[in-house]
Amino acid sequence: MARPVDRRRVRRQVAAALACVAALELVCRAQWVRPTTLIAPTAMVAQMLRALADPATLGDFGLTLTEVAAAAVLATALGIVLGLILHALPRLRRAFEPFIASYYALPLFALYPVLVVVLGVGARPIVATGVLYAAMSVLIATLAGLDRIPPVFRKAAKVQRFGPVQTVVRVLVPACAPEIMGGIALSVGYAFVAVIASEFLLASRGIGHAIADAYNTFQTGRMYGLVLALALMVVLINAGLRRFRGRWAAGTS
Amino acid sequence: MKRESLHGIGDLALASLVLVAGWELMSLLIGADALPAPLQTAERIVAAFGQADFLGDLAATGQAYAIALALAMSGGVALGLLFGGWTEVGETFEPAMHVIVAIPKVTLYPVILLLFGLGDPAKIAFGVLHGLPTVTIMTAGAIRTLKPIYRKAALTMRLTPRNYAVHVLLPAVAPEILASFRICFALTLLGVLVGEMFASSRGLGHLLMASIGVNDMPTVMAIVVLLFVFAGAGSTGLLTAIDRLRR
Repeated sequence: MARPVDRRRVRRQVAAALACVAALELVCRAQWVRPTTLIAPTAMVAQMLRALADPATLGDFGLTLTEVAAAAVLATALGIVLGLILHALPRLRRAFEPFIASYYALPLFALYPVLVVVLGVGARPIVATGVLYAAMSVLIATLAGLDRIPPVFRKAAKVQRFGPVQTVVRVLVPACAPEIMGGIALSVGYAFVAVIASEFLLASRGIGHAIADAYNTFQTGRMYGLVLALALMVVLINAGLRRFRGRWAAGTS
Repeated sequence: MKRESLHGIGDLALASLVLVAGWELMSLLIGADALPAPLQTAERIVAAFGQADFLGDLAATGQAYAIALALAMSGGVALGLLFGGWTEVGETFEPAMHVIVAIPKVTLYPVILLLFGLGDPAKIAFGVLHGLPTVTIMTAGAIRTLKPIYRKAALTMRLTPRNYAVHVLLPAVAPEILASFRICFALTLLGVLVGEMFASSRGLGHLLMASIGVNDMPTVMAIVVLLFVFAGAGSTGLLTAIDRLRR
């Protein structure tokens, strides 16, 4: 199955990771750093399990995940529509290139108070912040996909006498599906970052807020446990998305 | 050349016009209390540059950003050369970089604060954490796709590792490095700002949070617009440099 080189590589990666964890454990257990600054990896895992045993924490996780999912779905729809519009208007698209390129430098959650006024308190402004971040990656992917469609596809649509909506739904979007899928996979990551950042900095709900709260109330152990749980969850979701993406690309091309 | 730059200015004017018109419309719909109009924001920006407090915040952010950017770029390239040029090390440690890129780093900020203490070092470290991994991954990736002839040539000429890196690898992957700098430029700024937004007492990020706290929306919009212009200008400048290098 796996080539010997691959297996050796994996073994080396695991060994390196274990060595780092062991070093950290040693530094903490030997009390070279204060336990209020950094706790040992084994303690982190214990704290994570303790935090996850609490239904309120699980509720926070569920809330955050729901918000991320909602933001990703909305961002996908918005990104595809905006991508189609911008692609149809090349002049406008060229004008917006620098804005698109510098979009991710913006602390967009600064607009959170505006969103609260418009959408009310609760999940909606947080989801909206997630959409603001996530839609751009879908938009960029849609543009890239549309650029790569051979002209013959549009001609075929014309021959079939498709209207504009039919052309988009039955020809253009399926043709750039692999690119759009890539954009969606990225957008989930962005939605996560935006939702967590809003919760962490501004809102008073969700797992981001729980971490900030643990820091502010000097519960260092709980904070590390929550950070570890969140990091593990994001890494797992990303790995799943990458696999899904790989399978999709392999199946269509 | 002249024609091109004229086109560029026209494009910029068009995009700005569309954005400002959309903003004005939103402001009318939502109400100027929640979303100040463009003119009101412009007035606030002009006024801000006359205030010593604002200039102090601007200087604090600028200083931290400059240090973070220098560290992220130089450290990123150095690590990228190491990971790309030395396969075993790269394969072993690069997955860690991918993990750092993927996780929401905001949640790591308390950890950074505990390790570096309150103050400038923490927000600089946070900026580096945002910017560095991308530079490393892109530099290492570019080196890995280089033609093997480069390595052979270096071996034939008996170059030392240092000379191999400086005279062969760096020039060969310069366009990719500049492209990664463009992303790094934006991400590091975001990192520094987020660092200032949490448990900080100066800088634009802190001013942003303070203004949100007292519902001073004109100042919020003024900072957002300034950041947008700065990030756009930097990103466009680097893009031009990449184009010139590729030609």
